[in-house]
Amino acid sequence: MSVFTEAIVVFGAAIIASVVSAKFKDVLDKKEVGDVLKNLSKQGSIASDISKARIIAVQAILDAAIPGSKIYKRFVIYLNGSLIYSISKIAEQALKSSPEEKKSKTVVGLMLGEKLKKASKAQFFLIAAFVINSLMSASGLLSVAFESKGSSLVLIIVAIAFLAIHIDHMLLEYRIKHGLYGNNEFEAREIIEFIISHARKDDFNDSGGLKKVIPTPVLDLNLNKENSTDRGGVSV
Amino acid sequence: MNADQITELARKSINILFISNPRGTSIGILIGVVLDGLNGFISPALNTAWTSASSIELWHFIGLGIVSMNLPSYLRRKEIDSSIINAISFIEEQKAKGNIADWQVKQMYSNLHQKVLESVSLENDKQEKANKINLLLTEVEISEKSNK
Repeated sequence: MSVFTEAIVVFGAAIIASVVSAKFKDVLDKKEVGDVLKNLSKQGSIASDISKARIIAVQAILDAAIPGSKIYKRFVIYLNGSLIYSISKIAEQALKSSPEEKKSKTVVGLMLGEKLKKASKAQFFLIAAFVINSLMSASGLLSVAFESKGSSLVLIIVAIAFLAIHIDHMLLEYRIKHGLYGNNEFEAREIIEFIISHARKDDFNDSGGLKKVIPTPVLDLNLNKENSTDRGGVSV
Repeated sequence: MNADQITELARKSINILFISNPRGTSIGILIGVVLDGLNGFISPALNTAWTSASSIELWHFIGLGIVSMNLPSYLRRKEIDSSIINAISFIEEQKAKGNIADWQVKQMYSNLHQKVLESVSLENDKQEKANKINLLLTEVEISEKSNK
C-alpha cells in the first residue's frame, strides 16, 4: 500500500469515525431523540401531554416513512438522530400554530419523513457498497480476479457521502430550530416540489396541462394576513 | 454573511452535489462497485476481443452507475407551475432590492406555501397521515387549554 493510499484510508476512516460518534452524541444528548427511542420500546414515562403528542406525531411520521421491524427503526433513529430531532421540533412548532399553519407544518413533517426514508436507504446502499468491496478485496479467492484495485477509493467515497448526509441533516436541524427553514427560494422549492410530487394525479391536471396553482394575476401574497409566522419555526 | 445565508448556501451546495437524490447516487456507487468486480472476472476474456477492457477503472464504473441512476429521475421530474415560479422570483427580486424586510419575506413564503397547499390535494395515503397527525395535535391543544 502506497503512502498516498494509506493517507486516504486513514482520512476516510477518520471521517466515518467522527460521523458515527456525532450520531451517537445526537442520540445521547437530545432528549427528543431519546424519547422516541423510549417510546419505541415502551420504556419510561413521558412527562407532559405536549411531549406525548410530539412523540406520537414523530412516531406516526416514522411509521409512515419506515415501515418494518422495530430493530430496523431503531437502527434508522441511531443513524439519523439529527433528522428525528428536526421532525420533533416541527411537531412541537405545529402544536403552537394556527390551524392553517398546523396543516402546512404537518406537510413539512411528512417531507422530513420522506427525507429520512431516502437517507436511510442511501446509508444502507453505501454500507453495502463498502462491505461488498471489502469482501472482494479481502477474500483470498476473489483477490486473484479482483486485484483489490479500488478499496481506498470506495472507502473515501462512502465516507464523504455519509458526511454529506450528516452535514445536510445538521444544517436542516439548525435552520428549523432557529425558524429559518423555508425562507428562501431553494427551500421554498423543496417544500413545493414535495407537495406537487405527492399531489393526486387527477387533481393536478387542468385541461391537459398543469393546474394553475395561483390564478393569474399572480402575487396575491397578502402581507397583512393575521396569522403571522414571525415567531420562529418553519415559515410554512 | 449571516448564519441564515451561510447555512442556506451550504445546504444548496451539498444538495446539488449529492443529497437531492441520495438513494439514486448511493445505488449508483453500489452498481459501480459490483460492475468493477464483474469486470475483474470477465476482462481477461474481453481483452482478446476488446484490448482496453481491463483499463476501465473503478471510478469509471462508479461514475456510470451514478449517472445512470440519476438520469431517469432527472428526466421524470415534474415542472413547477409558472405562477409559482413567478411568485418566487417576485419575492427574491423584492428581497434583493431591499424593498421588503426579513419578516415580510418569511410571511410571503408562508402565504405562498399555504396557497399551494390549498390548491392541491395530496395523495390519499399522505392526506390520511397528515389528517391523523393534525387531529392528534389539535386534540392535545384542546386538552392543554382545558387543563389551564
